[in-house]
Amino acid sequence: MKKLIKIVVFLAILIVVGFKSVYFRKLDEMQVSAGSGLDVAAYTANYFKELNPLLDTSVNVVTLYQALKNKDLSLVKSKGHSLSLGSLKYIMVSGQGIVAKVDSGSIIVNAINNEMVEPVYIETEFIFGNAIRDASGIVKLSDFTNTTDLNNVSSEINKTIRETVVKPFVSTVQKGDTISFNGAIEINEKYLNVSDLQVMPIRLK
Amino acid sequence: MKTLNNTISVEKLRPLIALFLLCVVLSLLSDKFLTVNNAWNVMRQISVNICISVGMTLIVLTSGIDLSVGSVLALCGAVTAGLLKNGIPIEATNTYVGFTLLGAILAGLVVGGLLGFFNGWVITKFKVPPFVATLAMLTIARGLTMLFTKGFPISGLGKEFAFIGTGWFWGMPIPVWISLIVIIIAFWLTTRTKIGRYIYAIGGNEKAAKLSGINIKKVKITVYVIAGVLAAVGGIMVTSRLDSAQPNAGMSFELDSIAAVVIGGTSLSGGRGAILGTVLGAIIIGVLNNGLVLLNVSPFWQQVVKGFVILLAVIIDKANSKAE
Repeated sequence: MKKLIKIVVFLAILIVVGFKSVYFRKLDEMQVSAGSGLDVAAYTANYFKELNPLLDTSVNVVTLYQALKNKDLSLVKSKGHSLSLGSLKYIMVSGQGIVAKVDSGSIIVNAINNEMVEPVYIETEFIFGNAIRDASGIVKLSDFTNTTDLNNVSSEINKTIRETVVKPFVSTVQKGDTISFNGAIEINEKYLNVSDLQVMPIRLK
Repeated sequence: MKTLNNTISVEKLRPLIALFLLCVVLSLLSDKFLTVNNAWNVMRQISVNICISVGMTLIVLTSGIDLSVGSVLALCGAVTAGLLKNGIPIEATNTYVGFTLLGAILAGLVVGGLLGFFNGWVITKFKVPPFVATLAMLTIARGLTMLFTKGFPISGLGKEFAFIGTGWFWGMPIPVWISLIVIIIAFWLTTRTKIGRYIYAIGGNEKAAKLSGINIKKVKITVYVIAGVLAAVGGIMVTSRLDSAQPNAGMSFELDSIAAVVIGGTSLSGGRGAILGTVLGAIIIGVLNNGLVLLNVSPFWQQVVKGFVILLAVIIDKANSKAE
């Protein structure tokens, strides 16, 4: 008898816990209401709208390279941005120059400013990471409730750049062309290596 | 007799003395160490290690070991997060099975228990050494975590779930409450119940325990199930604290928990040790980690220091066993 009571009590608890644990819905209804999170495409479109006027305030890439070669990080500190606490900073740059080489993954440009010349690598294949997202300082962590949305925005920005900026440009650019560009650079303040710097393009003309 | 009693009490007090000395040294070296905020920070950090170390203690007391706790922790955290966020969509019947907070947590705990059961079953049924069986589970559970998460974190789990890892209740962080409850239950289990006595008996002398009628298989499987469930508790706490289930969560947690057990005075050969010793061991590891961070010691050196502390604890354990 005692055993029977035990079994009944156990089953009763199991049923109550079960009812409190799971619920059932129609799948198609759930899929309609699931799109309630951040609209990444709209956020990205708005990002580019806000970014355009800021491009004119970018640091000249030759000036930046010269400063970094002298271990002068003042430009990075004043114009760079980052959403994380680490030593990585992202900064918007601009420049003009003559295309020295068109590789499968990058364009090498001899950027000129006040008679000074610096070779600059403009990435055209692997547009990745958070450089373009973070360099402008427009994106704020407080805009997001989770890191997935933040990462998705980064992916969407990079995708837009790949398709609307890089693709049409790469098909026409040739060695010897004079071009102007805007982009973003990732700089590690702690382990500075100027020869490793690559420009993630934002605007190419 | 008097000398023997003194030896025993010194042996029991050794982790406490070590902790006291560690605290004194760190408070002299860093003015940030001895602050209320830092104390809560350390307690919150060690809560996860306490949970998995308590399970590990029970296993080590039976002269076993569980190398899979870190991976089990990751899988249970991922399952909880995945079910809470995405539920189970069944396209064939156009049904969505959603999980409430309670349901997702229970599912995580059940997965932990099942993995623990599998460990215990393999060890007792096929006589596979615990080291090998749980090493296999380490890989299996990590692989399953990667499959379940597709290698990406599962984030945005809601405020209610985040409360478990970041909330406060009666002036104390929730993870500290959880670890306190785990300690009390484990202490009661090992000191006041039949199964507690069986655990010590099996670790002390398995053959004698078997001859005296103890169901070795049942006790061992139970112990691995408990350890699995406690790893799941740890996984839920980690996931909640980060508001994200990371596929690589819990990496090398098994080492920290074994370290806590050994430093706390539990013999790796089984049969000797106590839950409170493990708690002290976990606090020592936590304080050591915190102190090294506050002193700005490189993470690489932190590993080296921790390794030497574990080595020292094992040498002391061996010396004690020899003396006995």
